[in-house]
Amino acid sequence: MELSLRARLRSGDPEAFGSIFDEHARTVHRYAVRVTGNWATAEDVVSLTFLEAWRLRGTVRPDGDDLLPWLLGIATNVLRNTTRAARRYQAALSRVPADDTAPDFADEVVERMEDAGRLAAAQRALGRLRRGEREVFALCVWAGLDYAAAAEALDVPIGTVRSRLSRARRRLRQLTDEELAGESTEPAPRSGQQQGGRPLAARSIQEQTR
Amino acid sequence: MNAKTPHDDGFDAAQSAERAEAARLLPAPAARDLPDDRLRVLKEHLMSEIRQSAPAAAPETAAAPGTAPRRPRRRWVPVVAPLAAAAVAAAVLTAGPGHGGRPADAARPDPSKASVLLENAAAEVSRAPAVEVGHHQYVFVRSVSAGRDNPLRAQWTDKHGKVHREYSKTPTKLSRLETLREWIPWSRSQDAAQAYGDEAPQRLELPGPGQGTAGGPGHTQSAFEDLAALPRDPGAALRAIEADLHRQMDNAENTKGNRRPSVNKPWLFAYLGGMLQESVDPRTTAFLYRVAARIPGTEVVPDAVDATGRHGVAIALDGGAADRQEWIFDKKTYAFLGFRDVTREDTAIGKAGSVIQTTAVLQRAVVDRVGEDPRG
Repeated sequence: MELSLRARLRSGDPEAFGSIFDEHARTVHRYAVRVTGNWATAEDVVSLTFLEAWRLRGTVRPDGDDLLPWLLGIATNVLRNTTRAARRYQAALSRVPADDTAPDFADEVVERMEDAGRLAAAQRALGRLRRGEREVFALCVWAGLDYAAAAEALDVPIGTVRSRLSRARRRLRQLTDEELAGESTEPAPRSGQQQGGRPLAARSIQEQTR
Repeated sequence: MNAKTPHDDGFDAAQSAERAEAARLLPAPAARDLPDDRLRVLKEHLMSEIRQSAPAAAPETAAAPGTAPRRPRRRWVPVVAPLAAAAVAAAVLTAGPGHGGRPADAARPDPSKASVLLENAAAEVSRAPAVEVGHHQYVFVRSVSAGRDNPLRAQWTDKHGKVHREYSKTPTKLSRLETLREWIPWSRSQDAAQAYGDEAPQRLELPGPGQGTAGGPGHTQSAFEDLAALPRDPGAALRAIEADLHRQMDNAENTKGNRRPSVNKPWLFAYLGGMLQESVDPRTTAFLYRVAARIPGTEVVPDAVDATGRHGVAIALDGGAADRQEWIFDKKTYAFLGFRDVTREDTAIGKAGSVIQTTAVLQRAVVDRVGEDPRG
């Protein structure tokens, strides 16, 4: 099934591409939201990732299992570039009213503020890692890829994935200790939309475990 | 790669433990998923995009007079820019007139003279010798830019049509100036390229016809042939560009509810600004000035400063949302120096008129290949 889907994708079949979108778009979006902490950007990342995937469809190997590592690899590349683009196009980006910044119920507003706070806190922690570590961390831990799949996504040896994750763990342990030493109690930002992928909240990373 | 990797039980067990520990240190933040309707919107957009680029797609149609020009867009911008523009346009529509055009600078905008200034600029600029760009050549542009977070965090319209804006309370600094070099091909069939700082040029594929555009100064990257395909009459050219923008607005991704922005002046303005920034031939520049002179609602700002501190006279258009965009010209030669976005209201970053984004064009030249830098 997957084999023929790959073959159809390689041959430029839009229907096959549609199926792949149906299967993986949500996962790509979840990955992008966690990495960017920003729903508007995450939507753009989804579109950019699949546009890239279509352009690069010829590079998909004809055999293999899941296409997700390949897609998340593309998403990772897109994210490397949107960070830069976000900086350059901050003004333009921040004019985008999110499609859904006008929630209908108070509950939803609160839920969103909580989401934003959690995302910002996680991003802040992730921001303390080097890029390579950050990417491995997001893929292996937040997107649930195993080492082999992350290696495929990033096109690096599996040993590299493992050592980067190990460094990331060490760094995060350090960070957790620091956080415990100087507990910060600033509230989450009142923001329906965050731009530029910058961490906005100063919550303790302890708080976001729920 | 999976096949090549030896997977013994010990490795797998160690891997599970390592990943579990990592997850404890920094768990995936919970956040709501993309709603189904948004997912559908994204898919519809994507499918229409890829169908246009599918192998059997219709061949490029000849640009009949009055047809919208085919605008390329930069690879990493495509979704962002149209959305931003749609947002601005939507904001204009919903906010309606009378949002109190507060003078943002000591330099008070003067609406009466903008089109006169642009016509004068066109006349002045066209006296310079023509610059030819060969069909296999590139326009090279070196520019610098700086920006900061727009203090506008969110903006939405409630059920009663009232516009709400939420501003950041924390002031942010303007970033350091960053250099950008761009190589824009005459022909859309060649790749464009860009390089930040001293980085190696990164190639950008210009998409095929009908695949939309990027708007805004510094990120238009119009292939020269698209410019060449515009109608000769400035008014007709403006309508052609506008028609193209409208067509893009019709994309599902730009539709908010069922309300489509019918006029998108700020984007049109930003779009022309982008073309001006990249224009190397005085005849083209003059033509674009004449096109711009036909955008209603532009104003003159007697004094504005570009990213490198050069003073000039500016043409501004109220962005309708939270900022105003200004094109800055040299006061004598009317060369396009750069543009800037300034706030329309007092915010955490300062009084109205504070700079959100600013650029300056340092050099334009014609080169033969990507990577060729006339300064060396």
